[in-house]
This record gives sequence, structure tokens and C-alpha cells, in this order.
Amino acid sequence: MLSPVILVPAILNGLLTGAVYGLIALGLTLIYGVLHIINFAHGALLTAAMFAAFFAHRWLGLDPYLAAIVLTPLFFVLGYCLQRFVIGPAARGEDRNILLVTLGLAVVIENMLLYAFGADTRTLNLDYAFNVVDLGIAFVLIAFTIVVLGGMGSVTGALVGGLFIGVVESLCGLYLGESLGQIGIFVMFILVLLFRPRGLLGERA
Amino acid sequence: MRGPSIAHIVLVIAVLATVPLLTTSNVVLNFFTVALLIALVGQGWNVLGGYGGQYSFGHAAFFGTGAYVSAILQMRYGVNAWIAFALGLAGGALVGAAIGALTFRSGLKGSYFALVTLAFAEVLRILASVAPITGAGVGILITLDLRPQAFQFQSRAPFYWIILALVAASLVIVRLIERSRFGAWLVAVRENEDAAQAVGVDTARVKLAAMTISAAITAAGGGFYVQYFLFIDSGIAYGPWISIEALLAPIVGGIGTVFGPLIGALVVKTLGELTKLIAGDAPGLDLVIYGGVLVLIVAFAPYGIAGLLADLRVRFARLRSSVPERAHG
Repeated sequence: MLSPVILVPAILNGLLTGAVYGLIALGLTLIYGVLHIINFAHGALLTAAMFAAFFAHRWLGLDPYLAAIVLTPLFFVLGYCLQRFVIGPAARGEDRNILLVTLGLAVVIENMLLYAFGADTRTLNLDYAFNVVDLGIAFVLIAFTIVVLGGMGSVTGALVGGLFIGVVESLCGLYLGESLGQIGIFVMFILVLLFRPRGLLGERA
Repeated sequence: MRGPSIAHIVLVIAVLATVPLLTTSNVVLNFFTVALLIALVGQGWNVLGGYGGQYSFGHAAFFGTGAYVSAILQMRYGVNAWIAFALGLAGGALVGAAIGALTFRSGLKGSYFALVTLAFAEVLRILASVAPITGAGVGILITLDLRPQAFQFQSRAPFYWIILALVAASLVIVRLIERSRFGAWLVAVRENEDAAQAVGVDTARVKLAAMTISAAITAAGGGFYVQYFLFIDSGIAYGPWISIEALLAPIVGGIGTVFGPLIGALVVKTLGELTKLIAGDAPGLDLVIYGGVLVLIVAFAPYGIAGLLADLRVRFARLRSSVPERAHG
């Protein structure tokens, strides 16, 4: 066993990341709860928003927390347009089509960003900053893990699941090594789907 | 709609077999070899996704296992490359059966099945990126040994004929499945699983069998990749790129058709090359095109290019039959 001196900061760190995860999963579970859409492009839109916040800071000197006030309505409009003009007409309401269309969107958005900005990671130099912009399809899985864990469409489930997953990732990283941190998340995802598909807090499947 | 006959398959393969006789350009041969590799991987996806309606987002799990088993047996245990290839195929099938048994027994379908297969592929990718036996982050280089008995060749033509033979075999297998009782059960599962179950089809077993065959075909693609490029790492083997190529080819070409993955792979790869010609070798741009094509196909041609062709044929036949009537009337 590791001493509390290492363990406690790891858990706190996990809770911090987990809170962010929870917020992201909240968006995903909201879409599912209302529209019953599994939005595969959720992670890609998140990456786009991160880049937007990054450049708002770089070019306009806007603090990310202030940028959020502008970016939130902006991405609301973007999301509306995607659903109204792309996902809706292309998928014609069929589950499999929605999955494929949003997968296509995810690939397009992520690689457009890659093409435009290159593959370098970018860091924000703020006195409270800790994040690096480097995500991918794997990130969607983390958000889905949380949503599935908390029960599809459940808001409380998403927030609690987010914190839980953050701690799991942090502890897996601590015990198994940094690069294996995410494996705990995916294994948990598989296990939950196989054995408790209604989620741990299980409201509705 | 009746599928193509064996004669159609022989004709198509015969035409494709002439490519190395018509050109000595390595660029052209490489293009066709990679396109056929994607056709093979896509045909694997097609068995499960096209005929069985189970959309996997994680066929990289089988591609990567085929590749790694073959590479590890050759480099770490000195196994002959051909035997390693066959065992890689078997390994992929085994992983397919294992994932299938777990997921189908828990009744996962639709989006959940897609996500859980992606999760399996990601777990394997992370494991392969740290485990010493897979070469961890460095990957595995296959030692150069340009002899046919080592599954390596001086020129590209033999590689091309081998991948063509594998594609031919996959076409025949899918054609046999299409006309078999098993194929009928599989389509029944796709169309309405509950109804299929109600009339006595053991849907879990049918899906499991389809997944195993599907995984084996895709794993063959992975094994070929290793021999052709002589290198494999965790990102290539288990990365999302191959899962996306695997589903893109059959969806573009025509889902649940014998020739769909082949048509789709040729079209998608041509588009990719055209993008490179126009925009240069920019990272990500060909994938932007792929993603866009996927959205457009789902929106405007849900049965892919094969569906469009069938549509045209019906319209043409109707046009021809209506012309004499008008002449008499």
C-alpha cells in the first residue's frame, strides 16, 4: 500500500479531472436523455471548443472562464445547426445511421483540426492552468463510460460517475503506471455494459 | 435481390489479376495492394455488420491480433512466416469468438455493441503499447528475408497476387454464406432479431459464428499487413483508423453485398489518393474526406454504390420495357 501522502493528492487530482469528466458526460447524457441519440461527435466538439478557448486566449487575451460565456452560446448554435442540417436529415431517425453520421462528423471535425493546427499539444500558460489539448476518439469512450455507469439519461449519474471515473483513472495511473491509467476506465466500461447495462445508479436503460 | 454468381467473382478476380501484367509501376501496384487489403478487412466487417446488422467500431481488435500474433511468433519464437500467418488468423478468430461470446451473451446490441467493441480495441491498444512482448512503444520490425518461404518477395507482384487470392477467398466465402441457411438466419437477425428468435433461430449462436468468421477474415488482413510492411506497432495494429476503414469500405460500396467492400475500398482509396494529389500529403485531410463520404453515403445512398447500381439497372429495365408499349400505343 502506498502512504496517504501519495494517495490523498492522487485522489484529489482524480476528483478534479473527474469533475471535468462529469461536466462532459452531463452534455452527452442530456443529448441521450432528450433525443435518444448516441452522439459520437461529442468528443470532437469538445476538442473544437478547447481549441476555440485556446485561441480566444492567444489572440484576444480572453481568460478561458470569460471565453466560456461567449463560446457556450456559440457552440449551442453549432450544435443546433449540426442536428438540424446534418444529423437529422442524413440519419432519418434510424439508430445505426445516427451512430454512423456522428462517427463521420467526429472524423471530419478532429482531422480538420489536425489539418489546421497540426499534431502538437498546446498548453495554456495561466496561473491556474493544468490542461493540455490532446484528445481523440478515446475521449468519447471516457464520456460514454461515465454515462453508462451513471445510467443513460441520468444527470446525477453523470456527475457522480464523472468523479468516480476520475478517481479510478488517477489510481490506476498510480498503481499500474501512467500509460495504463485509462485502461481502468475501458475495462470498467466493458464490465458495466456486460453485467450492469442499466448503470450502477440504474434509472433507465 | 439475387447476389452475384461464382462466375461473376471469377471474372472480377481475373480482371484484377492482370494489373501487375499491365504495369510495373510500384506506385500503382502499391495502391491496388493497399486497396485490396482494405477490401479484405472490410469484407470481414461486412459479414457481421452487413449481413448480421451488428455494427462493430472495433474491428482493429481482430486486425491487430492477426498482425501481432504473426509478428511475435516469427520474431520471438522463430516460427515460419506462413504458419505464423495462419496462427495469426486463428488468433484473430479466437479473440472474435471471445468478445462475441461476452457481448452477445449479455444481449448487447446496436450502439452498445459498437461502443463495447471500440472499448475492447482500445484496451488491446493500450496493453500492446506497454507490454514487452509486443515491443511496447517501439513496435516489432520483421527481419528482411526476401524468400517466398519466408512470405517475403523481391517484387510487389507476388504480394499483390496473394492479397488478391485472399480477397477472392473472402468473396467466395461471403457468397456461400449469402446462399446458405446460416446466411438466411443472419439476415433474419439483422432484419428483426426478436422475430428471428420467435421462429426458432438461435440468434446468439448465429451472431457468434458470424463474429468469428468476420474476425478471422479481418485478422488475415492484419497478418498480410505485417508481411507487406514488415512493421507493426500498437497504433497501427489496434488504432481506430483500421476500425474506421473496415466499416467505411462496405458502407460506401454497399452493405450486405458480396462485392460491396471491394467496390468501396477501391473508391475510398482512389478518393484518398486524389486528395493527396490535390492538397499534398497533409496529415488528416484524407480522413476529413473519408468522414465526409461516410456522412454523404448514409444520407443519400444507404445501400452504397452497389445499391445505386441496382437502382439504375431497375430504372433502365423499366425504361426499356416501357418503350415498345408506347410505340404500339
